[in-house]
Amino acid sequence: MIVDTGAIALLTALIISIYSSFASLLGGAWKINELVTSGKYGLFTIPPLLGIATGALIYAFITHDFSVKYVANNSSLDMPDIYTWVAIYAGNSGSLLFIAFVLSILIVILILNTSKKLPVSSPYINFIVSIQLIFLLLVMVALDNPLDRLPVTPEDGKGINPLLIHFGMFIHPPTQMTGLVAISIPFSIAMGTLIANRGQFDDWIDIGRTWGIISWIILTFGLILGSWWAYTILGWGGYWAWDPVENSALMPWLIMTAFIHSIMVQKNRRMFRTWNMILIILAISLSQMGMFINRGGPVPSVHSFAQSTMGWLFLIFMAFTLLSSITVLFFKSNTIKSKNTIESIYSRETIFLVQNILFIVIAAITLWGTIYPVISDLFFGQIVTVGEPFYDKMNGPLMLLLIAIMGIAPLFPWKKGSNIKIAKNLITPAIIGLLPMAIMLAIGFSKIITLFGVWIFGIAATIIIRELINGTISINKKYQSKYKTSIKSFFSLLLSNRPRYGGYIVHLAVLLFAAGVIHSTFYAIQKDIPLSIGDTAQVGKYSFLYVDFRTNELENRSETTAIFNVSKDSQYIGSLESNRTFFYKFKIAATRAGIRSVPMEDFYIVPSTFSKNGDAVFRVYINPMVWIMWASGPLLFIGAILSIWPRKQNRRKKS
Amino acid sequence: MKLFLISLLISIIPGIVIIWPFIFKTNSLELLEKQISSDKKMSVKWEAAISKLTTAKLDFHIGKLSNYNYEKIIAEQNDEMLKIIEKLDASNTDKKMFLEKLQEKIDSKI
Repeated sequence: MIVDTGAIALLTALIISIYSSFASLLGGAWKINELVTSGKYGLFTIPPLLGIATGALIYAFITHDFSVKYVANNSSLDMPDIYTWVAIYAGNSGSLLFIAFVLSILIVILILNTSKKLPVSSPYINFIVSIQLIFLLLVMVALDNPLDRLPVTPEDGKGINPLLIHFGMFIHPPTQMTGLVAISIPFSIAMGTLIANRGQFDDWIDIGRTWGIISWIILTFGLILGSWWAYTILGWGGYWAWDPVENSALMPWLIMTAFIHSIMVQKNRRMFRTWNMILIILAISLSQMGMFINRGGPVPSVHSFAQSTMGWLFLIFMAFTLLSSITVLFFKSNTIKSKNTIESIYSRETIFLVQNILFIVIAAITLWGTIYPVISDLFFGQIVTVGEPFYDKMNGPLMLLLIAIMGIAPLFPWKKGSNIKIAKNLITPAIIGLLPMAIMLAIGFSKIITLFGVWIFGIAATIIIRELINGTISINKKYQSKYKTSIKSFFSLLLSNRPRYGGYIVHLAVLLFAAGVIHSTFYAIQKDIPLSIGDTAQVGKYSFLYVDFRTNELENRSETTAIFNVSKDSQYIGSLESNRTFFYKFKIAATRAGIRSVPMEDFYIVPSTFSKNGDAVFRVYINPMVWIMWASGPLLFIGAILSIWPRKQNRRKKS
Repeated sequence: MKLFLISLLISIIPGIVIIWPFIFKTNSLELLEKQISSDKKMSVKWEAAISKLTTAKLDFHIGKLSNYNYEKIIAEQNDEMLKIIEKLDASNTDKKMFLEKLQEKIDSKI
């Protein structure tokens, strides 16, 4: 009965959403305040309704109610209860329910956020965002209901995909899905403002920017967690494989990065209004395309667990969103014309524009590589998959250029700058940037491309750090009596212009991340070594002894673990275990790499198939600076949060 | 039977919630005020017009302002406020009601 209650709640949520969208639109158009409020209140009821539906699904999982089709397909009697959370979004309809639930909560926060600040645009914003919700609910109710029952109840379920049994899976998929669906919010704000003819007032900028950054933060963490999961569980030794589903999350991220920068130009110079609309339309379209690829798109991917036959519906919805948004933009473009223009190429707005174009080009290259198998199949009758070398060759230099632009951007003032002054300010960082380059050369990193990269990072980091030091000194001088120590002055500087200094911290994190990527790409060592118990092998400065192996036969899987003693420069550094598990029911194997990670490098060992006496081929990697990449995550988070944290006086005003 | 009651409950509660605004009408005048305050330029002009209107009324009542000048200022400021109200996204009835309420508010200040 609880499952049926959930199904009723789901249906009610759909009906109320449809009502709310029409009430919001008509209430806004006919200026009937009661209708607008009614639509708004309707949307407030959706999270509890979807909460009931989600609760019912959780209940079905916990009680092993295999009469529910989704439960039978994604769990089994031997699945520990803790994996119920993962099982909820392990398949198509469950993940749709999760996304819809998250979106409904975001909508409530959005309404509370905009109905007072953007009273005119609010009904239209609510209308647009509820259309996104209706689509998800409609697909579930009409085509793939997670609470549908089977005609005959099986004794046991099929079980959860073993690749999902990993700590990263508790956070990565929900974060990624939340990040993608959260793009609907800034998109709805922008479109709602446009429909309400309020584009020229720029009153949506602050809210739109905040929501843009929120979705960007969530997407960023989804991507980082996904990379971590791939690195530790998929056992290919890397963290990014340009897999179609990875790309489908990267593309909206790239466009959102462009958007959150470009919107600053609109805030400061009242420019780029149409451009920002185009960016947010692109971002939402690409996020919907991601859903299409993830759910039965034609491109093969390691993320095939959420596949269904209804991916094409998502493509149709993407086309609908894209076409309708472009139509609205076309007819309302005269309401967002800007009087200001770019006055000089030596201005921050020019830098932002160049950076924006680079982001779009990288996204376009990634899109081309992602859909090329489909295009080649369509036009040449042969599926040609585009691999890592294509992306590395095409996107690598552009990303390096982006980093360089990111580094020098703080030297460019708004409106008009002097090329001589900018050049003068660049000299010191260019010299200091040579220092890390020399250090890397001394350590043994001698490839020209990486040394050039490190020089660029050095310049960028010096410019940012100099900005922070100069700012701290000037605050210290100006308010010596108030901020007695430099640390206090430094924090007061950070809080004085949060978007700017928060952005700088994010940029520092990006530099760290990029340093990790460039070194792990160009200096990784990979070797396949056949070993028997008692054998010792040497890779780089590491030697390792294959001590023992143990096999554990369980009801649903067979686990084989190899144990190694690892030494570096002839000094024992510890024991490592790497594991391979074969799941009978799914006929797939999952590997768990043995990793010893220190800031400078990772020693990484992963087994292939074991013979009965423990002989196996082990793939060994030495990946430099991967640890630094993961460490950049918290720094990035701190910077991003700082950049959207509301100012103190605003909070006082509210109270 | 139980399921029927639960279904009824699940659908009735949201039903009541969406009907609520029609029974207990919300104040649309508040919405218009919010619109004005959300636009900085409009807000500055609005505040200035109200201030001039209030001062003029007060000056006229205490005899500091001649009838001619008073009517001139009132006409000018009313015109200014009408221009702002015209820009608002609301029905004519709401706009009219808003203006009437505002006049009452200004009169009560004097």
